[in-house]
Amino acid sequence: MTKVLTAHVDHPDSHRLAHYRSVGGYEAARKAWTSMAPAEIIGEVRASGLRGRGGAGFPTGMKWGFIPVSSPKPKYLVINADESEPGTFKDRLLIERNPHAVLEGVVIGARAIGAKRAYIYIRGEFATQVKVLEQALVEAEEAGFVGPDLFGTGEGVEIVIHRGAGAYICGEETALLNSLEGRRGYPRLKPPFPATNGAWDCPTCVNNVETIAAIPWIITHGGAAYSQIGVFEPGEEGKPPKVDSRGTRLMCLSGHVARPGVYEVPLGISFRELIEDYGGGVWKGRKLKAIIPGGSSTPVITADEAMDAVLTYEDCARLKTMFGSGGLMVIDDETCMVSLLTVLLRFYAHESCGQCSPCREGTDWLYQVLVRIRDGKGRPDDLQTIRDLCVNMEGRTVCPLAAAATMPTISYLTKFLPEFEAKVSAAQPVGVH
Amino acid sequence: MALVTINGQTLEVPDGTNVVEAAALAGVDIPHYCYHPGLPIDGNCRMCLVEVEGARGPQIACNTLLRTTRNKEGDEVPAAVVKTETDAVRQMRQGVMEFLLLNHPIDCPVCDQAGECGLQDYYMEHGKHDHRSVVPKVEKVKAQPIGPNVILDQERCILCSRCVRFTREVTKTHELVIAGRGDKSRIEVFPGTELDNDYATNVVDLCPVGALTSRDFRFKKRVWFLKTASSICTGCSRGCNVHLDHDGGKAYRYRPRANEAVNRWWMCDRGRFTYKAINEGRQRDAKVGGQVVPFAKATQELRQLLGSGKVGFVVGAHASLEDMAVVKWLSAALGARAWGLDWSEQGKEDDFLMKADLTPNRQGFALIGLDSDETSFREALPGLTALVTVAVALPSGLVHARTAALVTHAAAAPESAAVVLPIAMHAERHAAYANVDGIIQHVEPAFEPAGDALPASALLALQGAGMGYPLPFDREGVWKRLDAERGVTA
Amino acid sequence: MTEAATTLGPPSAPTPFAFSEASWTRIRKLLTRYPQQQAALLPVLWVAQEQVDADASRPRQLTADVIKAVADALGLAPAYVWGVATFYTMYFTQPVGKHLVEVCTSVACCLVGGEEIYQRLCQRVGIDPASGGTSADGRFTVRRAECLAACGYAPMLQLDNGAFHENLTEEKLDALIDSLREATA
Repeated sequence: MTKVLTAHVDHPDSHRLAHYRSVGGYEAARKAWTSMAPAEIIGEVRASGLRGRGGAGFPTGMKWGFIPVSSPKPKYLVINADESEPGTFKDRLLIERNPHAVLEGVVIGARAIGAKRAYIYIRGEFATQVKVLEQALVEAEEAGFVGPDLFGTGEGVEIVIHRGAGAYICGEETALLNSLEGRRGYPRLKPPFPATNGAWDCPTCVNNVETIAAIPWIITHGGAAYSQIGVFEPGEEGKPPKVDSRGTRLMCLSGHVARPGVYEVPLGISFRELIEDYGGGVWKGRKLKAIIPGGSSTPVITADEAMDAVLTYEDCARLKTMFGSGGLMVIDDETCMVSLLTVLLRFYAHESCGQCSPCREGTDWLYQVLVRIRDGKGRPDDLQTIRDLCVNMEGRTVCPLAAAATMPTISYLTKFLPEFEAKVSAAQPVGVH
Repeated sequence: MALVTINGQTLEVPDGTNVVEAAALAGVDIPHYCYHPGLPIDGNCRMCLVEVEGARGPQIACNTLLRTTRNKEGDEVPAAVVKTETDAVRQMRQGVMEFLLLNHPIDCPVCDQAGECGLQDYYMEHGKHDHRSVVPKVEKVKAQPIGPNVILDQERCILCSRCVRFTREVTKTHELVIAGRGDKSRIEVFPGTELDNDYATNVVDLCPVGALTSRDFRFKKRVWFLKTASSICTGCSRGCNVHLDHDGGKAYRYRPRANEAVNRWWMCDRGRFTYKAINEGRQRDAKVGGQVVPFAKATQELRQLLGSGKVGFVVGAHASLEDMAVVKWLSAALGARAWGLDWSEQGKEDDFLMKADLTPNRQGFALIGLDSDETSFREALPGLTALVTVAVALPSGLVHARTAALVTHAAAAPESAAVVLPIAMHAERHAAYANVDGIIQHVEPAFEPAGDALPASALLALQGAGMGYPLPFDREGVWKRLDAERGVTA
Repeated sequence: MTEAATTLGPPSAPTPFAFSEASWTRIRKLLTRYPQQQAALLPVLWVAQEQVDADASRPRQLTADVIKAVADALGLAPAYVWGVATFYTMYFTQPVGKHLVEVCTSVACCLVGGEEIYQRLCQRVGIDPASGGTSADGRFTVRRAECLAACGYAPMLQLDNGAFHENLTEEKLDALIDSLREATA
C-alpha cells in the first residue's frame, strides 16, 4: 500500500537530512524549481485532487490558484502547524519524524504561489517539535535546499518558524495570521479573505502541515498517481464529483482503542477496517458505542453508523458529521456521554477567544449547564436551554469556534438523548440560586 | 453609488456604505454596539445581524459593505437585499441580548449610565427575555479610576472594544487594551500608564454601557432629568459641536455632537470641561462704581458714557457675531471707534482638534469688519472719553478711567470700572461663532441667562434705541442686516 | 467608589528587568524575519520569558518591568504587549511555581484516565483540583491543559512548557513527582 507521508518514519534518522536525501528527498523541489512553471505545479496539485487536511477539506490546487499572480505586494505561504483540535496529533508526527517533507513541500508551494518568504506557525506547546523542525531547517539551509538561491535559479524562499504561545483559536487561519503579526489571536472578519488580504494585508495562502507534506510526493510521482489513491466518482456533466476523496490521510486513533496512534491510510477504507485492523479494535474487549470521526468539533456518530461508513468526506457528510482533521476518538460502551460532552465543552469555553459575544458567553454557559447536569443538579428546562443556546450561537459568530462547540453538542443530545434525560430527571431539586 | 434594498425599499447610497448606515438613510434602525462610524469596523457584538438574500446565514450589517453591482446585462442591481424586521432577525437580536447580559451585573440602580444605556434601551426593544442562567457571574474589577477623568467598571463592559479602538486608531496612545481571553476578557490599562490623553473622555461617550463613566459627571445628575441643547464648545477656536446637557439653569456636561467638517465625533477634554464656566464665577448683578445697583440704573450710567463724546468699543473674541455686529453698528452711529481685540492666554495646539487660540470667535473680527490693530487702540486710548468693553478682559494697563465693562464673568471686569453689566453666555442665548476655518456655527439657548444678564447684542441695541439709533436687537434682525451689509449669512 | 482599591495589569518586581546581551542578539535576529516589528512580539516574549526563567533571583512571572522591556524593544505600548501576552496561556502572566505541570484533561485524555491523573497530582502536591494553582511550598503550579496533541499517548502532561510525559500511569506520575521534589529540594 502506498505511503505518501510516512514511508520512512520508522527509521531512527528519518528526521535528518542525510536520511531524507537517501530516499530521494528534495528532488521534487529541484524538479519544481528547475523544470516546472508555477502554473504547472499548481496544475499537478489540482490533478492530484489533494484536499486540505486541516479540517475544511478545501482543494489545495484551487486554493493556490486564488493567489493573484500579478499582485505588486509580497506573497506569503503560511503553514498551519498549530495542531490543537482534540483528537489530532498527526502534524506532530510529521514534524518529529518527517520534517524535511514539510520543508520541501513549503519550498515547492512557495514557488507555486510566488512567495519569497514562508512562515511555519507552530503551536507553542510543541517545544520539542520546534527544536526538531529548527534543526531540519538549518540542515536544509546549509545544504542549499532552503534559501535565497535554490538550484541555481537565483531565486528562492526563506522559511521562518514562528512559535505560538498557547491558543487553540490560532488554528483558525485568520486568527493565526493575527497571531503571526503579533496580535491577540482574534479571527478576522471575512471578507476580505487571506488569498488577497492575508498576512500584513498581502496575498497569503495558509496550508496545513499534512497537506504541504504531501506535495513532494505529488510532484515526484505526478498528480495523476496521487489521484489514483482513494476514491473518486465524477459527477454528471458540469456537476462537481459525487465522491472526491483522493489520496492518503493520516488518521489519529485515540480513546478506547487497543492500539492508538497515527496511521496513514488510503481514503475510502471503512471505519471498521481502521478501528479493527489498524487500531486493534475497542480496548479491553469492550463494545464500540460511538466514534468522534475527525476531532472533537465533529458531530459524534454511533457505532452502527460508523461501522457502515467509509473514510470519505462524502460519507461523513452523509452522516451529518465531518471528516475534520482526522482525529478519530473511539468511545466504548461503558462511557457516560454526559460526562464526555461536559469535558468537550470545557475545551471550547477555555479556548473561546472572547472576541464576539455569542461565543464568549455561550461556550461557558453551555459548559456550566452540562456541569450541573453531569453532577446530578440538572434542571428540567436545561436540555431546552442547551438547544436554544446552540441555535443562538451557531452561524452568528466571527469564526466557526462556536459551531465547533454547538454541532457536536446537538449530536450528543440527539443521539444519546436518554442518557441526558435520565441525568436531568434523576436530579435532586435544588433551590433557586 | 450603490443600490441597496432594505425591507423592500430600494435606495442609492455612496459606494462603500455599510448596511447600518444605509438602513439609517432609509429610516431603519439596525441595533448595534461595536459599530461606530468614527472607528474601524470590528464586528464583535453581533447585534446588527440581519438577513441578506443569497448569503450563507445571517450577516452583520456593519461589515456588509455596498458596492456598485451589475447583472449580466450590465444593469445596476441592488448590492444587497436586506431584511431587518423578520422573526428570524428579532430572534437573533434577543439571543445576542441574552448573551450580552449573561455576565452583566444588572446594577442599574447604582449605575450612572442608567437612562442612556445601550443595554437598557436594546433590552426593552429587542430583548425582554427572562433571565434563565443560574450560573454565578464572572467577577471583575469595579469602579476603578483609570485616569484623571474616567472610571472603569469591568463587569459592566460588553467588550465592544470601541474604547480600545479609539485609543489605538484615533489618539494612537494605546492606553486601553483587552486583556485575558474568553469570558475572562476585560479592559485594562497598564500599571503606571493612565488613560490621560487630551481626548480621553471621548471613551465615555463611546462606551455604550456603564463600563466607562466620567469622573466629572458621575453621580451629579440622573440623565433623565437632563435637557439637551445643540451648542458648541467655546473653549478654543475649533468650535467643536456639542450637546449641552443641563437642568435648572445649570450646565452639567458637554458631549461631542458629530460634525464631519469640524470635529467629526470627538472633542478634547480641555474643551469638554469648559462647560463649568457657564456655572461658575459669573457676573450676575449690575454695578456702578463698584456697588450693586438695579439694572436700569447701570444702563442709565452706560448711556451717559456712550454719549460722552469720543467713545471707544473693544469687543473680545468670546463675543458672538451678533455682539460684534451690534458693537460695529452702534459705534458707527455714535461716531465712535470699535476694535476687535482679545488678550486671552494661548493654550496647547495639536494636529487634531485643539487650537492654541482659546477663544471661539476671533475670525468674527474680520468677518464683521472690526479693527484688530492693538497699536491703534493703544494710541487712541488716551484720547477717549469713555471705553466700553464687551466680553473681554483688558490688560491692566489698558483700562480707561471711564470704562463700562459688559462681562460674562466677574473676574473680567476691572475693579475700577465705572459700570459693570452682566451679559449672557452662549448657553443662554441664540448666538453664532466663526471658527478657525471661518465656519459659522449657531448655538441654541439652553436656559435663561444668569442673574440679570442679557445678550450683549440686545443690551447694546437697546441702549442705541434709547439714544435714537434704532438697531436690530434680535437674531433675525441682526442677521438680516448682516446679510445685507456684509454678505455674512447665517 | 473604591479609589484605586485594586490594580490592573501585572505587578512590579524588586529588580527591574533588562534584556541580556545574549537576548538582544536573539531579538536582533528575530527582527530580520518579519516585514513589521510588531510581528516579533510573540518570539520576543518568549525570549523575555526564557531569560526570566533562567534567572533564579527573579519571580517566575512576566512582571510589569518585563512587559515594559518587551514593549520598548519593539516600539510598542506596554498595555498592548500586556493585552497580547494575556491572550496566550503559555506566557507567565500569573506567578508560576518552580515547576509548571499541566495535565491534559481534554476529551481523548479523559477517555483513558486524564482526569484521574490530574486529581492524583493535585492531591499529591496539595492543590485544590477545583481551581488548580500553586502549592504552598511554591514548588508546583498545576493546571489543567487543553489538548496538547498527544491523544494517542494519553494520559499525558507537559512539564515547564517543554517535555511531554506520555502514557502516564499512577506509578509514572508518582515517580515524576518524586524526582521533581528531589531536584528542587
